[in-house]
Amino acid sequence: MKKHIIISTLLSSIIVTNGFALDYKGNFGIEASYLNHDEENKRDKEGALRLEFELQQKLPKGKAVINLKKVYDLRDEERRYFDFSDFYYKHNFENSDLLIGRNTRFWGAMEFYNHTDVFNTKDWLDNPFDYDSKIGANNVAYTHYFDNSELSIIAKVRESRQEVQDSKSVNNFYPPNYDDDLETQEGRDRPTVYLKYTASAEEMQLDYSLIYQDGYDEQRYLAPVGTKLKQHAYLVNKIMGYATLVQGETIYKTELAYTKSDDDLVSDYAQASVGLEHTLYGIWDKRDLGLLLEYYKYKASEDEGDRSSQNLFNDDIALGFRLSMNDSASSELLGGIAIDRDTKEQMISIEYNTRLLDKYKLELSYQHLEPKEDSSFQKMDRAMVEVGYYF
Amino acid sequence: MKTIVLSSLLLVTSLFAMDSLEVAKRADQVTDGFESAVAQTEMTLINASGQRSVRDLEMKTLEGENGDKTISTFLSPADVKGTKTLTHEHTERDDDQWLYLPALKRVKRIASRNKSGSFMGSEFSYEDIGNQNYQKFTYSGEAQEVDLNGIKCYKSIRVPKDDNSGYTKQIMWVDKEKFLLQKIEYYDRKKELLKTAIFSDHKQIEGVWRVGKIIMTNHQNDKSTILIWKEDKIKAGLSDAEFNKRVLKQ
Repeated sequence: MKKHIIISTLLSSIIVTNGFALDYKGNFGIEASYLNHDEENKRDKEGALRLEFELQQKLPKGKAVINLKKVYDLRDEERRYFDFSDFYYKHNFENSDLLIGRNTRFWGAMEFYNHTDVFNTKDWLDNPFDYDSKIGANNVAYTHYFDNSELSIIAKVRESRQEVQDSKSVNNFYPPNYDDDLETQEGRDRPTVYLKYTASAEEMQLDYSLIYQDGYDEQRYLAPVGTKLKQHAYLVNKIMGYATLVQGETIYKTELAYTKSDDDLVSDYAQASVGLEHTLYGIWDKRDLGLLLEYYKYKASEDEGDRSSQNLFNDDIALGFRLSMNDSASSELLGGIAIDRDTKEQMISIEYNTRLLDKYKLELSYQHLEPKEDSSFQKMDRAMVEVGYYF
Repeated sequence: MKTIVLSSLLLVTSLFAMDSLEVAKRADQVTDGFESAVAQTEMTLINASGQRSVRDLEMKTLEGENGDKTISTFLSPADVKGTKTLTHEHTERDDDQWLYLPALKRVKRIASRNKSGSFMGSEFSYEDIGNQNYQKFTYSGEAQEVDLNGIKCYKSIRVPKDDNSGYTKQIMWVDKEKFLLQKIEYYDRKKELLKTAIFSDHKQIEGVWRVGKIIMTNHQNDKSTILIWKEDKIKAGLSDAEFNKRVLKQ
């Protein structure tokens, strides 16, 4: 109730602001999935209604942004929720800006998975295999802009809890005694500070970012607290970097991260990924075909046993393609396979999306997960249809 | 005497004929000097059976000596609203190009060699939409004087210098009076006629000529695209800072 009052007050205060452009956009959609799996007591059909709505108010020296995501699952009561992925005010100065509020950010260069995209907690109430689905993070960020670079200092507060779907959902990988209350090393309000430098080279097509982090890691571990199993957030010092270089029709990418843990139960670890994307233009009439090859490596300084195996991209090769039809419906076919070199765990994904009648979008997707023997994931096929109305 | 008559005839002919390069230069000059521009455009895609689909786009351009800078923002269809592309053109190397995807909050550097690729699914390619500076082409010989639907024009051939161009040659018609581009025929890599662009609704704003409408017809797939400038403001006072990568996220 309190949340609804705050939203209504803020929405009305934005709407009554006169004289400056108020912009909105969003979509309302329905998703339906059919699942093939061997697990008992898990559903084989899922369906949900979704609303995404963005309201943006331009002001003389800045802007206010609200971005709401609302999901209403037809069967899973845990999955009837909403989140403000954005809820912030950004004030512009001559060569800098100050952001106060809640938002999501993207950090990284790779296409399948991003080691360095650590700012937001992943939203597991949504599709857990959609790494772009994130929970908004409360933060204050100051960014100073130079000619071809920028330097940001960001303080994130209030670590997000990671709620999960109900026990009958195949997307709930946790044991029944999982409790989404978050345990933290120094309290949930201990800020996580990021220092980020981003630049573009002058004479070559190169973009790169360097990030230093002090605070809670995006990764967490599960440990019992009484009879419950809870996520534990631990403190780290992390150095990360990512870069993109374009040469001709090929884009080369890399992400690197080294994490020094402050928790006795978690060892220090390093992550690296390299990849390339080569595009063949104008094949089959005017279609473009992008070919992707990426490799991911995760290495802990000590044997982490089960914890290491929880890391999805620890020694994986990913191959993929993107076929852009370049038609009036902006149709696109995407496909990919990620294979763990050691355990042979596999994930296959195919997705087709197209626009219908200018206002609607149709998305068809198929995923196949072939886990290793002792994995907490189960073998699964998922076929999904999503239809959205955009406004 | 015979020699004098022949020489005089040649002199008279050369006084009225115009070099193809000179025509191209003059056509460029009449559209130069806009400094910076903000345009609201509407693009109508028409398929072979006549079905129409409309896109709206805001284009900001900063004129530069070594290439223009352009930021394009998609306003419709609704599912791509807020998507932006930023292009920094270079004469000596490949252009810098970035794409901003608002749903992911992601700024992505993209390969810019895709000159012949379709722009927004339309019959315009990226090189048709980009700067048409005369120095991007080679020319030979004199322009022909022809009549195009009652307009006296210079007709000349230009060949793109860029190896990544989708065209082997372009035939252009420029009106003799104001040096405004009236029509271009585009020939593909197989040297076959691919598309024709008709330029119209020219208007002069603050001494600079601007095109108001282009109809691009593809002869090989029977599709066409109409691009209309609904609003066009030049000398808009934009600065280099407004074409920085940071602007994509704003």
